[in-house]
Amino acid sequence: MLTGERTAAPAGVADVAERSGAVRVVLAEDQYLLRDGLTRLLQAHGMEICAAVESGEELLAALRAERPDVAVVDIRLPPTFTDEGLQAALAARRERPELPVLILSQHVEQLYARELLADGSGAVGYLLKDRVFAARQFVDSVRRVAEGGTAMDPEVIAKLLASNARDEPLGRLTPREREVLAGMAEGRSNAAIARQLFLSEGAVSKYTTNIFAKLDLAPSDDDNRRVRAVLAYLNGRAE
Amino acid sequence: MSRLRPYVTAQGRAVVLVALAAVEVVAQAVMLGSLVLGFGLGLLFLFPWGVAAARGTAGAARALTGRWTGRPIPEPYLPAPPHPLPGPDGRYRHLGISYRSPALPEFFERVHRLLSDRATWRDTLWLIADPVVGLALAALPLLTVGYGLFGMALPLLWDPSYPGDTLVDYAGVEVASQDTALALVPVGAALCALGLWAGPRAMALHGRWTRSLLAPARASELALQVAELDQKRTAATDWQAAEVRRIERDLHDGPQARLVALGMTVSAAEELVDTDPAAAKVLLRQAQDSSSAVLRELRGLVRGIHPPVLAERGLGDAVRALALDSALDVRVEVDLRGQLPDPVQSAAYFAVAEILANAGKHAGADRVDIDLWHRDGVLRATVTDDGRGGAAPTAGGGLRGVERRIKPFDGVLAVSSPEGGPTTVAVEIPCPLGDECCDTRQAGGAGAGGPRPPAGRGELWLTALAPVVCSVALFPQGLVAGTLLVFGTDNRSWFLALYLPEPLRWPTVLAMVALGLAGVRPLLRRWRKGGARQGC
Repeated sequence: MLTGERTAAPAGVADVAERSGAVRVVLAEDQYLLRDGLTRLLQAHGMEICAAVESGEELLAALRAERPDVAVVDIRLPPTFTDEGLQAALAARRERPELPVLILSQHVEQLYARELLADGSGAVGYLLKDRVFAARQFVDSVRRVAEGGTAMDPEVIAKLLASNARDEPLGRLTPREREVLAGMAEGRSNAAIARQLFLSEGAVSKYTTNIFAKLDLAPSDDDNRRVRAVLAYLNGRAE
Repeated sequence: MSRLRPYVTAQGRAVVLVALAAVEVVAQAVMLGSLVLGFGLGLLFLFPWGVAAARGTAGAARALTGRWTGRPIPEPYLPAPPHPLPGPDGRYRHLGISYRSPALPEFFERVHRLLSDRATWRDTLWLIADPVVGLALAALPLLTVGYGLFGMALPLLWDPSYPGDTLVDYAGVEVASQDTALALVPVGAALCALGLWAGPRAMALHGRWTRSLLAPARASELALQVAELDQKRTAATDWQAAEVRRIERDLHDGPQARLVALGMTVSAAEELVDTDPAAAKVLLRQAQDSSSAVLRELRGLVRGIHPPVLAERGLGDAVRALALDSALDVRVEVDLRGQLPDPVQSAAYFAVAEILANAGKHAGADRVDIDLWHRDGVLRATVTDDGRGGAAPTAGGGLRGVERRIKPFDGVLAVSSPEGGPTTVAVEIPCPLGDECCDTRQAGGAGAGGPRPPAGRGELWLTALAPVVCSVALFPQGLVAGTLLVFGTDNRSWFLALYLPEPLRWPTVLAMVALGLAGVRPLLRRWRKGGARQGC
């Protein structure tokens, strides 16, 4: 799936990186190798790492002091090695609701995804750590979250869709529409979905119109708002 | 009326105790007879019968006392010896003698176990003593009430025209006239009340006495626990070994094999990178894919060993996450405050996961309700589904696995699954939560009632003697002597106050009453406290 996306990804992705100014990132990851690798990766793509910390407390302090454009956070951090990172990120978001947060983890849980999406304000990401392998796409996700967008791991979306599988309106979607819906839920733009599914953008927007009609959602041209509507729909259904 | 009820009940129980005493006399004869004949005349086969008679009677007393006091008395007996195993030659050896059939060695083992079981001898001691103690404790209130009723009926019964000995002696007073008879009515009423009052006390005392001999001795309690723990340890270590083996196999077949392939792909790419960069790129992409696959597999494995949510959030959220990932419509109610011990959390999590998987797989359920709560030192989980029912723990089945998993923690599994549903599976694991500590519960199954340390010998004597001393002071020497003083009789009988010179009589009577009341008060308090302790 990842290879497919990458082969489909045109050169256009790169100029997203060059388009905006240096994105300021606070990074929280307790494993040195990964912290170092992520720092290099993000710097190589023109981002500025204003702090790279190891623990939840340091993270909270750095978020308050640096006011970054985005926080890239590992869920499990010292000292408790529980969900320290997630808690710190949620706490920081309570202080500053629009703070973009991208959560990284060795595993993805619907439970955490729902907590992150609960406030409905977007600017969240939740990805498996192995998504870092696809460097460009990962950087793209960071940037998207920094801009107020959403980046949900395909695995989370698959689980969300699965737990909504018994849902009547969802059942009426065609397989293709479900694919487009999954793409939207992951936070992709029409263009990105079109590239991923080898469709024209026009076709994708027709699909999205259909989906919104079937799910009884208000149509919107704004990508971010559209994603939020879809996620709120998926999130709310299974509550 | 309802306030009188316990007193009347106690009288009824006293009657039962009298009947029990009669049975005990028979059982005692059988037991002692089997001892004498068994070991005196060598009719050893009689001994187990004697023990059986003793145990039957003691068991009845245990059941009665348990029911009356609300605290069951557990059986104190050592478990039966294991069946003898044949040697390599197919014969059974016992004390250096080899037997063809296992019957004799088994019998000897049994006799030996009965002889070495302290409970056997405590039963015997109780059988000898209880007909006296029990009868005395039961008869005391019964006879007092009877005598009191007789006293109250004296004016009706007293007949001056009755020929012969018309003098009736009641409570040390000669009933010589209708007036005396009437004067004795309050005495009769007081005795009747005393008997009724004493009934529950005597029964409580008998309960203590029975418990002191028939409840498990510390040694046999420990022996029972050791046997039980031994079994649990074996089950736990077996299960753990199987689990480790499974993890090893999964690692070997999955990630290990994939990493070998990954290494080979990378080295092939290395060789191609100069000659055919495009092919090398394809290989490297493959390598990336397989590293993703390894990670995916490892994630699955980790979930099977210890789910990350459980480590990060504890049991409540782990079960919630489980419910979210389930294809069924699952509702979760959690009431857990504080931190559960890790091993218990893990066992409970996998138990719930297994039960939930069963509901989806076998029961064909759509909707499942999971309740998780902790109260009184016990973690409880119930999983109810609307499936077709008919579930039962079968060998090798999922529910058996759940049982095995919770057994090391003294956990129990209960299944209610009528044909046609709904199915409710309940899991209970005793464990402290957070700062709470309940070591009585952790002490294990045998002493499940939370045994109270038996009353000391001194205390027992005190409880036995105090009522006697106090009632003598309070009633005949105090109240009865006072009554006689009021009526001014010549018969001084054994009333101390009446022998004293006039000015000292009333002070003596009052002192007696005071002594009686003083003796009764701490006794009452002790009983009340005992009752409260039994209640909690």
